[in-house]
Amino acid sequence: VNAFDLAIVGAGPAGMAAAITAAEAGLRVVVFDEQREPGGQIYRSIETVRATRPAHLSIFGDDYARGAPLVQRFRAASIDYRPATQVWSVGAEGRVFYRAQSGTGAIEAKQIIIATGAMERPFPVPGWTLPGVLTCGAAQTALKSAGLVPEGRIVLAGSGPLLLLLAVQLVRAGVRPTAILETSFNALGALKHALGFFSAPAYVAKGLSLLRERKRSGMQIYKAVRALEIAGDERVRGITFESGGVRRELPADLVLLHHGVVPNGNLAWSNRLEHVWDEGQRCFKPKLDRWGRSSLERVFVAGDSGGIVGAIACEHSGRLAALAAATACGRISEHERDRRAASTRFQYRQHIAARPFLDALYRPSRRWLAPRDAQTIVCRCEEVTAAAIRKVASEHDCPGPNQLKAFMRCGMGPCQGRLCGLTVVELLAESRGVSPAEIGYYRIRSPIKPVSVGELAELDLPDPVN
Amino acid sequence: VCFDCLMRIDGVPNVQGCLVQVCEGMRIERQLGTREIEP
Repeated sequence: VNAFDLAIVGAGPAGMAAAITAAEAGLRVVVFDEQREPGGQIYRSIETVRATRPAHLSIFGDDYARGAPLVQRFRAASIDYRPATQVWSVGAEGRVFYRAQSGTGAIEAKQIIIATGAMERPFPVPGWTLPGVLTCGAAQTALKSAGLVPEGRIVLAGSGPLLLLLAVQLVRAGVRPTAILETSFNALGALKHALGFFSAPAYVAKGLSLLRERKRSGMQIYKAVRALEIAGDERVRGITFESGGVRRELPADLVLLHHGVVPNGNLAWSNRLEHVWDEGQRCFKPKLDRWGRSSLERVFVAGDSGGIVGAIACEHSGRLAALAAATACGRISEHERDRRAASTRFQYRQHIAARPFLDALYRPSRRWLAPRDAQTIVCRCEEVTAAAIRKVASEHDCPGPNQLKAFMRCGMGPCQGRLCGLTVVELLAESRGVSPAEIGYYRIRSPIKPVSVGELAELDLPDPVN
Repeated sequence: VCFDCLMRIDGVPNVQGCLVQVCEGMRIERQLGTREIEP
């Protein structure tokens, strides 16, 4: 088996920054990433965009372009980078299992950094499983990775910075969405966090500039939207909702949903890392020390997979984890680690200061998190409805998500609960009248990506090294 | 993350379509309904 000092899962801002820092400290570093080129979701395909369609850089703006130098430094550093490779298991003994076009394999590493990023929070509403309904993130992925601009009548619904950003990017790309349906914009609730936000001037300027650009585009905006329903048979036909006490209906060919992002946590969960419930971000996140070290000695979690912090703070948290890993490997002293970490930690704090305001401003209300509509599908893989989950929760006194699996296979399909987990937690918490912290989460087990029996058979398993 | 895009690519079933780049001559088939294991 190949042996490394440090294995990093994910080549987004956190993973790349961690890899560069660790390589500079003299560690033998391997980085696994699902995508074909480095960048993560935020800087997705940046090399291709710059090389083959540079005109598109103006669509994505400065926050995208700033990924280029990071990717360049990542490419230049002495790192064993494995693109188009999925990690399906990380063992406590430091073994990392992966699969790629070339086959399955395993490596060993003294330290591990999980930097699997964020995913969009599930947004279960009637009709969200229809063809023609995507998330804002998916539309942005198509735009970044293939330059695909959507056609027809587009309606965006939900809340969050990405929704606003995508609306503006679509306009820059030459298509104007018919309307934005704003579900959550809690200015009053966010007010008490305003100080932190306004101490990070870059975020204020960015937000205001996006809002101005959206306004200039003349896009129709409906505020305080409720009772959203997506209509259609074979595919989406339109969307109905309430706004300002009026029931409305809009025809639509494409509906783009978004309710913010949450940690992409299946790898962390599969390692049984201790987690905590984050009330502000309304999700679970791994319990970490100030270096990003988890409840397992050799496993760190960096970037958004450790709690949503935003791209720039992700870089800083990646660097902090890499420095601590370098110390754990005996490459730099604790003193040297602290010296190198000082300015990174300062900048990290500055960037996360803006977060509580954004979290509060865009937090979806309870009626979105625990859908009231009976027929809304919660578990897409196994087609389990909200009503069915509520029924089992109340009639069978179902204590948690794992027991729910036995009743109705909820969360047992190929996505392994990624798209229903948080909704199930919210439904059970509401129905039992307790906090999600008490409900807990699905017990996620590896393999966290589908592996065929053939692939397992071809795996040349080494004896454990202690 | 959603696994809603499972399809048969060049004869291999249950592939996450979103992670594969289309190329000339590739055979892509939709998978409707529940995924299946072939005997």
